[in-house]
Amino acid sequence: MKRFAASLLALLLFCTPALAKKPKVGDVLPDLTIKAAPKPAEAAYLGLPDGTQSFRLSQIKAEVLLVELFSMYCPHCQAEAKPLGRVFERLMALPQSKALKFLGIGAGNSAYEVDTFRLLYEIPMPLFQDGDYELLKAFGTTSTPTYLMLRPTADGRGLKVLFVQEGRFEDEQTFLELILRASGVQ
Amino acid sequence: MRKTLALLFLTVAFWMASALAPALAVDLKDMLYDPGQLKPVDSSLKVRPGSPAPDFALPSTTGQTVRLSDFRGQKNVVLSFVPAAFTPVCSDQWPGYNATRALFEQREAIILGITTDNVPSLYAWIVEMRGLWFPVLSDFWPHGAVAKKYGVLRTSGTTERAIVIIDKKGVVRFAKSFDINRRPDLGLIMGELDKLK
Repeated sequence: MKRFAASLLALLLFCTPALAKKPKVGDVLPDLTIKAAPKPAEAAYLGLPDGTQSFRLSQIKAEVLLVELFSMYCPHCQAEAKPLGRVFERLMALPQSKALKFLGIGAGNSAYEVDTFRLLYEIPMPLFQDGDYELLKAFGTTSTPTYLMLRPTADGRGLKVLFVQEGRFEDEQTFLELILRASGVQ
Repeated sequence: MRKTLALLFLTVAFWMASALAPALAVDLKDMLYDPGQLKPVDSSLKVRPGSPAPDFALPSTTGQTVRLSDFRGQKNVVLSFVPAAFTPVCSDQWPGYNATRALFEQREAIILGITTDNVPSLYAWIVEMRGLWFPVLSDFWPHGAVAKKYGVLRTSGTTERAIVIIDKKGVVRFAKSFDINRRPDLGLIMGELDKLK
């Protein structure tokens, strides 16, 4: 019986890492590089210099980032595009908007597809392409939409995960309150 | 010993519940069969830009038969061959074309979606995708006959992930089998349609 119990525990220990690949609160992710040039308004919002061609997430002038991993092809992302835009607009009316910034990353999307998504749904937040799924893989997730709240670590090790949500949110105001609370931004 | 075992089983039950619960949420993505990475292209195109598009008539999921030549003089036609229903890349490629319907219509284009699945399977898949604005045609029997005519039938019996653009005169203007593991870039398709103006 002891041998059975030991085997079972060993099996759990063996299996857990495989199921724990997805990012979770407290993890530190690498400081990823967005290989896309922000438009002038996006650069101004993110506090990046004019002419930026690519940038690391930690270069964004913010205490905390909310990153949406989306795809133009994902029906849930399409359905959530307008509500998310409204959440962004509500945040922009609050003083916390200087410290908490939003951006979207189009998983497997070309620049054309990201621009199409932006135009179709009149999305006000910065969006960038991730044509080869490099960022999606680095974030350790496979589904869209996924929301990640990240805070650059003080020692420059990377980005600490403060909040993760896979799938759609139910209510705009509730989601805004949830992310404000998770960000800790006053 | 009994107490130890009871504690162990409780721990296991809690672990399983917390680890497996998210997997119980049913969504289209949970119903998909992932074939993994496949050989990018497994056939040779038989149509070329400038050549007349081979005509065909195939059953659609609405119960009607759709004939390519019926669109002559009316619409530019985008044949979108995809490998199989209920697979990951295909299941977001066509919903993407749903969202971008206006872009196709601005270019006077209709999409004809084609796979070698049978009609009932295609019907169920489209319902799961919450409907599509364009006809979806079954090239199931004689199996893959149209795909073979266009040179997009793979040795496995599925089609390539191919795009064939046919102008209003019935002439092929673009044809390509893309890497089956990836979606074709929408920008490329729109760029090719823009050349027809």
